[in-house]
Amino acid sequence: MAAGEEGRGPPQSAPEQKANIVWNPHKYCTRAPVTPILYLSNGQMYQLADVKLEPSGTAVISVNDALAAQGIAPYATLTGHVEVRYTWPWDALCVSVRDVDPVHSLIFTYNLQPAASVTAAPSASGLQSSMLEGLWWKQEPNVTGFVSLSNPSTQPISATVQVTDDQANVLGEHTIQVSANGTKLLDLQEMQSSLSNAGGVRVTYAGAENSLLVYGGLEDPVTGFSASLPLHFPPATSVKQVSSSYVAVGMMAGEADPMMLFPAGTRFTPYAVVRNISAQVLSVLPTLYWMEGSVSHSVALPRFTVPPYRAQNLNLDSLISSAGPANFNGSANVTFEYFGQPKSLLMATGSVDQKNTYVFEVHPQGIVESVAKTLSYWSTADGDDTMVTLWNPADEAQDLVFTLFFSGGRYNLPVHLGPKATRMFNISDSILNQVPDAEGNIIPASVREGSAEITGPKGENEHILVSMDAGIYNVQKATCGQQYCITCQGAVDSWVAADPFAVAVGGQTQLTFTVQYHSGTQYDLTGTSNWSSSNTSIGTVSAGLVAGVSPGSLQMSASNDFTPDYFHACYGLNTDFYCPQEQGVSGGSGGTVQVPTDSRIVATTNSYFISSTTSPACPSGQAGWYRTVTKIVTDQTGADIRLDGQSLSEIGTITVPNDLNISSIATGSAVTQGGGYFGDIYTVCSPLCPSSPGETDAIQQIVDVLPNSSTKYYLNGVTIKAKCTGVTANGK
Amino acid sequence: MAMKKVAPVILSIVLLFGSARPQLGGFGSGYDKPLAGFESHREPAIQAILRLGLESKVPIGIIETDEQLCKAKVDVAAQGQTPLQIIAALIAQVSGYSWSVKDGVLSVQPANMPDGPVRLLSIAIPRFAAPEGTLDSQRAILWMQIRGVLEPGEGTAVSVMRSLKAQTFPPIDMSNATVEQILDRIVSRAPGGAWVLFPLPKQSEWRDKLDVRFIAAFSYGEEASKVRDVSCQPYGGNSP
Repeated sequence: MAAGEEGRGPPQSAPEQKANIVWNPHKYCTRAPVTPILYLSNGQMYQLADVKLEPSGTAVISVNDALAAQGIAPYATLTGHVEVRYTWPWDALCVSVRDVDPVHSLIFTYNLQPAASVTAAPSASGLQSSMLEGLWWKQEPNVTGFVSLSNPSTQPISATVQVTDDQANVLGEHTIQVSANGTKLLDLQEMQSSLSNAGGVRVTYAGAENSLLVYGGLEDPVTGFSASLPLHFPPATSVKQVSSSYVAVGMMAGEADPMMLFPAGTRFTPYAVVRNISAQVLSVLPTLYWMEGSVSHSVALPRFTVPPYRAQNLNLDSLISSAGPANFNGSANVTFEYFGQPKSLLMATGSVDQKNTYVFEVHPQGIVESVAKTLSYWSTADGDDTMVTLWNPADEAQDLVFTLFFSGGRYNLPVHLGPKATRMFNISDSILNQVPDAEGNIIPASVREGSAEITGPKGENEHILVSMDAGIYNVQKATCGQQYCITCQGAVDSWVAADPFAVAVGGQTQLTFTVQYHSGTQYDLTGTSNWSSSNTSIGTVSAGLVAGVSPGSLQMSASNDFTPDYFHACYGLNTDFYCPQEQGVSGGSGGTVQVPTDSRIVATTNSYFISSTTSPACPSGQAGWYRTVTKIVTDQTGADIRLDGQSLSEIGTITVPNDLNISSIATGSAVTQGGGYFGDIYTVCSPLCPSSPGETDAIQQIVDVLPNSSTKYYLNGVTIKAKCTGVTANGK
Repeated sequence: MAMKKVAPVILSIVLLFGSARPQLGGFGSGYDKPLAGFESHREPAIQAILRLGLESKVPIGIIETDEQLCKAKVDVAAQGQTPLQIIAALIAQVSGYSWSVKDGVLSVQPANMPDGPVRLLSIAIPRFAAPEGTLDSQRAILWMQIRGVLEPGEGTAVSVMRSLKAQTFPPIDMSNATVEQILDRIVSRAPGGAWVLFPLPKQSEWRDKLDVRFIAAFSYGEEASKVRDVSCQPYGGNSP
């Protein structure tokens, strides 16, 4: 995007709450000024001062302080949304809005939506509508929910919010008008009266997808329970059914890990709630994976079915107890496999302690091969720590490198994962240990935040199959959050060069296919891609090598199915977290198969009067002109044929007028070099010079034989006009 | 006015030079420097001679007055012999030709030289000056001078195409030198070369046959393989 706005998300600011905007540019980004803008619920805009970000740097803005600086009373309870604007070729920032209520141990983290979706304008005709499906659940009876609806456009948008129970029965419906740039916060009061412990939310509004930004949350201020409310666009009815696999990694069960410093007696219970947002029944197979020592174990849990639009709390703890290991205590991963339309199963998974205060949300993610994955943010500041979980879904062991980036450095942590094995670690450990990595790097003890990347040992473009999750938790504040984005490295651009290309009939030229990753690194895929010609009677292509067959225009295409597209996803936006979402890059180049047709002068290197006393010297008693030029052969369209190795010869014929009494013309030969160029020397000497104003004309006929060919191409004749004062070729 | 075709060249040179080879300097020493090996089997004599020049860096001038140098197929298998020894072995297999070293150039010519070539090569050029350029361009300037002597009332136009990266010869400026002396001087400088004068028509026909390539030019370029492309049919007209 040429001028981008990263997107918007909803801050809420109340006297007892702290709303912060946190954003992290990708480590490969250079300094980019970012403009934060706050919109209050009534659409009032407050543009804040620009923020400059270092690559991998993090900036935090206190919404409360920013509003206070604008003269907004700090005791007011406010809602609204955030927009950040910056200019960068792609979505380079991960921006989160983090609402923390330490008094009630509540935390909500919302990640801003990317510019492309934000800029979608509401439907002018009002005919287009969009629908979001959500999933609510009650961890305990007093949990309530809310959705916020922000309108980033300049026209009001009307929306309907429907709340259903686990059987898809409608509990309530709300019609809401959201003013331009305004925000509406809607409490889902129906949840409290419902006997169901799970259900659905459907938000329908006029306009294209994301023309209304919808976020949701679940909370119980009494216990300190808070969690996000997953929302997603349902699959289109035309989408084909496929097999999909998701995994929730790092779900805790039983006693808390002592290294995490939770209060004594803290025990965690895993949970999993699902909702089918497609029109087909889904049959889901959950499988539990856990580690005993260094050995991975798994057990298939009972398969369950979810009718269309129904919600179901799986009571995961009971499933594990009945089918899994007895008295399971530790960390586990749960996979969900189903055959159906992609993105048709909304899932909420995680772990919660017995007091429902500590909620470790785990967002299920698609199991898919990728290249490097990036974790946009980690923190060990102010009592925070970041717990990273890596799981190897493959049947083979994998060696990986987990690299921590921070301001001024990096630190490589080699990770060996056996088949289906899991590894969990706190980033604070790497800081505290002060053990140099293989490159001798350590993380300075003063470092408190940064980003991270998981790669194969061969670098960012090595294909790996790993699931990564991370959570920033704070025992003192009793908060756990995922205020980060996971980015899958991959292609942001691909192209074929030369574009356009030109190749002579019978000649060859090599094209290249290059992909540029989000990191800026370029990879040559010429030899590993599929190439095709739009017209093989004009030209063929193999591994990028184009062969000209007959004159004409054509298109050469290259594609590589195994290169992942760059994917940037932030939790809270995409509950079907397949990273990458797509694979395959392609590119094309238009070109011409050229026929040598003409020639043109590119440059004149010498041009001067000559006589019998100069060099070159005319015969005694004669004078004339000497001119040296650089030329190139042109094709049937007038384009240059930039092909070396063309063998050129010439013949010359004196025509009329012949005022200078020229009776002979000599010829030479050349081979094109340096990109298709050749030289020509025009010399004329006449006994009538320098006094004669006359002119002698000649035709220069150039014959071109292309490399590896015997065919002679007779170029259009060059009209040479010789005078005592100069020599021109085709008037130049 | 009717169009008038005019002859391409009166004199041609066969140029032999190697792009990445050491510069020629004091060519006389090259004659006595043994070659590791030189072999020729059933090869036209003119090609063998030119190839010898190319491989030994010895400047060569060849005057042909008949087809013997093209028709005669020579056999030589020499190891550790000097170019002079090898040329002697080659010419011994060609009836009616001899060799000598003249003006620092290894010259091959008929044992009995006809008047035509002698007269042409003896033409005195008042001043021959050419800027740095390809051997072909300097040869063309020489041809203009010859034309100026033979037909002083007529002018000459020259178009000489050239490869931009072709090896160039240094500037040259000679006064009152014969055509042969100029040719010898041109090919004796780095990077070196050879010239060939093919059989001439009668002097009385020189002007009438100006539109016929009765004296053809050959350029070996920089690859030894070009030697094999030397034509033994010089009457090609003003066409490539």
